[in-house]
Parts: sequence; structure tokens; C-alpha cells
Amino acid sequence: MTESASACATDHILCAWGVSREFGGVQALRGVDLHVTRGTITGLIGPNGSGKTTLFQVISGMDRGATGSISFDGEPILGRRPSQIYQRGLARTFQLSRVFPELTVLENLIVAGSRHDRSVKERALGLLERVRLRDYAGVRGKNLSYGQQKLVEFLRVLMSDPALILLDEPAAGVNPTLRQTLWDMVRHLNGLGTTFLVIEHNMEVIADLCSSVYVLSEGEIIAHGDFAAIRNDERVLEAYFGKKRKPATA
Amino acid sequence: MPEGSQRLISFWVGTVLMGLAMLAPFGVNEYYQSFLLQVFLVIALAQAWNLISGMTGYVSFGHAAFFGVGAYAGALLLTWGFPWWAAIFHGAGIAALLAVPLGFLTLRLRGPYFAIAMLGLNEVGRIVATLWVDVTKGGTGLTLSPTLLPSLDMKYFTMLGLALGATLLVAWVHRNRFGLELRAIREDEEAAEMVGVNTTRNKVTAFVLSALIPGAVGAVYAMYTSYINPSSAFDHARNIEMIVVVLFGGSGTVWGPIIGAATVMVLRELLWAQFPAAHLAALGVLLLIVVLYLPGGLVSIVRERQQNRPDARPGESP
Repeated sequence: MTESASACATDHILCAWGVSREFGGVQALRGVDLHVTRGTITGLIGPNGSGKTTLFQVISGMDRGATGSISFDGEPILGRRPSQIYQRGLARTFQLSRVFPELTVLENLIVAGSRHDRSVKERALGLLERVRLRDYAGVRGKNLSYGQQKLVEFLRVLMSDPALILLDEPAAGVNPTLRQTLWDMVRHLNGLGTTFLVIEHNMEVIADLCSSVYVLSEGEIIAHGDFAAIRNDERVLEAYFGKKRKPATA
Repeated sequence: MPEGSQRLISFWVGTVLMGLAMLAPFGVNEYYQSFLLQVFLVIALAQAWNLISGMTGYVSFGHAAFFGVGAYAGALLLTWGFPWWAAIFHGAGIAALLAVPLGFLTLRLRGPYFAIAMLGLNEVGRIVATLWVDVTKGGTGLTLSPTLLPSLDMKYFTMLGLALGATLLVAWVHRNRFGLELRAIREDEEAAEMVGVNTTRNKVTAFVLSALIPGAVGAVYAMYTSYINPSSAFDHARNIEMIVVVLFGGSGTVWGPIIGAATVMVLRELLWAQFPAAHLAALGVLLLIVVLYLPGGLVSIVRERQQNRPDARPGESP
């Protein structure tokens, strides 16, 4: 265990220190420090191109070219394979749906479950039942609507019963009914102890769900706190609107 | 049609075909027996290619390299006094052992880079067999004494066993968790890794299994022809043949390589007899038609019917 990993407070499930990532001279992340408290829903917001998805790529192991330090549940994970990180209990969804198109909905879920779980099929069917998609178990992923695909992708990460889930704009392109189903599930799972780190552009959702919010701009964390505090932060307003504005009074 | 009924039909069709293949040597002449042996050879090789390329989407243009390694290993071991069956086992084992490091190296590459690396592997095999004269006798080739060889019936049943074994292996992989993970890799390797699939381990395992079969088939082939040289053992046409047969029948399926091998081999025989000068061109045109209008191969005709059945649920939005 590194010095940084041991310094992560026990109530923090995820800690990142000085995470930087450069792509051919473009600094996508600049010394990002981020801590996610166990059992919370934490928001990650920022303008387009600010590095939110890159940070998710680095945390989940899909991009192993970053420097700095990341620990999950007390163990360093930077440089680990995505499958190893997933098996430790950290799962993620993608900004654009990535269901396996030629696999059925049921297969999409089973493949994400444990190899040693004998009741993996029942578990998958149970999850589909909860979102009223059980009748679609035999339908191929490619034949679902986009909203259904996003929902199936969300259910897929639940198959491993993860401790922390990274959601990358899970409601983007999803119709209001399915969106509500998705946020209801997030609340329900959070109530059972699952921690979430969420990228979302809808500020009402962020205000409603998240106890803590990080704001990323040009690869840097420029603000952190509860939503009421960050919505009046001058640097946040400048990052979003491009110039200094008078903070809201309400 | 329910999945259980499909499996039952597959089982009975397979059993009847197997019964006919077992009885064939007692009812047909040597010409037809040799033809069937070659059909089994193509089925076994196509199933091997199907295992890595059909299931994972890593298109190999060099699986003939494992066939060549098996052919040389089998032929050499036979001349060194090993019994014919032990030579076949060792041919398979040596090809599989070779596939372990090669898999770790080449499966880091994707798409055309992997295909080209495998093409190069076949060429390396041919050059080694040509230059390692002390062992392989170089371009002169290895001639096997008839006294060392099993009978035609024995070679026939061995090749039939390999075709059956390769098919059962693909069927088993297709149904179990390993096969599901391979198909997830084919669909989206990054997403598969992200849901806990150890993509490297799975790909290398599939690659090694897919090298085992051509290794054994190559050894039997050496005994069947009783002569091999670098060009016949590491023949690029064999690579193309595996790909054509699987695409013709249906990639990533259990029955596709069987239907593809039977169709291509019968068509080749018929066209060769009718148009000796242009049979390959005619076969090429047929393949083009199938690839253009039936990208899922011949088995997709049945599959499309299954999907379009009245009780199939469309993906309508709720």
C-alpha cells in the first residue's frame, strides 16, 4: 500500500491525489484531488471537455497512462486492469450506451455477474423484473430502444453488487419515465449502502441527489462542497458562463 | 421454436449424420472415402478457426501455421519410431504449446494488425521448415514409409473423430460461461473488460484451443498424404479455405462450419468436374453472393426465421 493510500480516511471509499493525464501535449487532468465518502452520492460536474469522462476512464482502469495516486477501499488501483478493479467492487457505466448488441438482455447481465455465483441467472431476471424489462430477457441488445439500453447497462453493473458505481451521464438520451426509474433505483441502492459518483449535466438532479459536488474545469478541480456552496462559487460561474457574474442571492 | 426443441433437433441431425459417416467406409469406394476424409479435415480446421475468429472476432489469417507445425511434428515423430496415435497427440500438443507465447504476443494487436501478424506467422513457419534442412529436409520434404502409416479406414475415423471433437468443443464453448465471455469480447472488448471479463486470459485460452485442433489435423494429414513439404504444410490457401468455409456457413455458430465445409467441398467437386479451368472463379463468385446477401452465412437463413417468428418480441419502447 502506498503512503497516499494509507492516508485515505476510512470513511472515504475512493481517494485520488494529484491525478494528471496528458494526451500529446494536451493536459486533460491536472493534479486532480478527489475523495468520495462511503455511502454517499457525489456529483462530478463541469463544462464539456473539462475532463470528467477522462477521470472516470482513469479511475476505472480503462486509461492506464495517468500519474498520481488512486485508492479504492484502501487499496491502490492506479494501473490495475479494469476487470481487476471491477472485481474489487468498483463498476462504471459509459456516457454512450455500450450494451453487447448481439447478446440477449439476459446474457448482457449474466456476463457481468460472478463466475462462481450459481444463481446468477435468477439474480439477472430479478433485476429485470424490478424495472419491468423481464419480458425483454431474450431480446438482443441491439433491438432495445436507447433508453432501455442505458437501463440494461445500469443493471449490468449491479450484477456484481459493487460498493462504488461511477455513472457517466446515465440519463442522457433517456425518456422521462425510464429516467425516473433509473434515479429511483440509484436512491434505493444508495439507501442500501451503495456509493455513487455521478457525472450529470442536469443541475436539478445534482441538487436533489448529491450530498457533495466536485467541479472540474480544464482538467482541474476548481470547487468542492455541497450544491448550495458551489452554485455561488465565482470560479464555477466563470467556468460555465465564461465571465464573472454576480452570485445568486437565493 | 423453443430452445429445447432446437437442441433436440440439433442432437438428432448430428447423430444421424454421425451414423452415416461411421457407416460410409463400408458402403463407398476409396474415392468417396477420401473425399469425406477431406470434408472432415476442413470441418475440423474451420471449427478451430471459428473458435478464435468467429467467437472473439480476432480474424486469423495464419492458422495454417499450426496445421504445418502439427504436420511436421507428426511426420517427424512417426519417422523417429513413435506410434501414429502418439504422433498425433504430440502434434496437437506442440502446436498448442507454441500458441501460448504467440497468443500473449499477437492478441495485444487488434483488427488488421492481428490478421497481418498471423499471416506473417504462417510465412515464418514455411521459411523455418525450408531452412531447417537437417530436421525437415528443407524443400525436398519428408516422405513417410507406408509401413509406418495407419490404414485408410483408421485415418478416416481419426479425422472424423477430430471433426466431431472440434464441433463438440465449439458447442460446449458456445453454451458455457467461457463462450459468453468470448462473445462479449467480440461485441465490445473494452466493455467486456469493464464488467470483469479477463479478456487476455480468455483470448489466449481460445487461441490455444484453436491451435490444438489444426496441430492434430496436420499430423493426420501428413499420414494421409504420406508426404509433406513446406509449401503443402504451410499453405496460405488453407488459411483462406478456413475463412471461406466459416463465412459461407455462418461465423460464430456450431453448425456454420459443418454446413460451410460440406457445401464448399461438394460445390468444388462439382465445379471442378464441370469447369476445370474456371472452378475457383465460380466458387469465388458464389462466396461473394453469400457474403453480400447473407452476411451471417447459410445458417442465418434459419436464424432469421427464428427471430421473425410471431412470438419474438421486438424492442419497442415502453
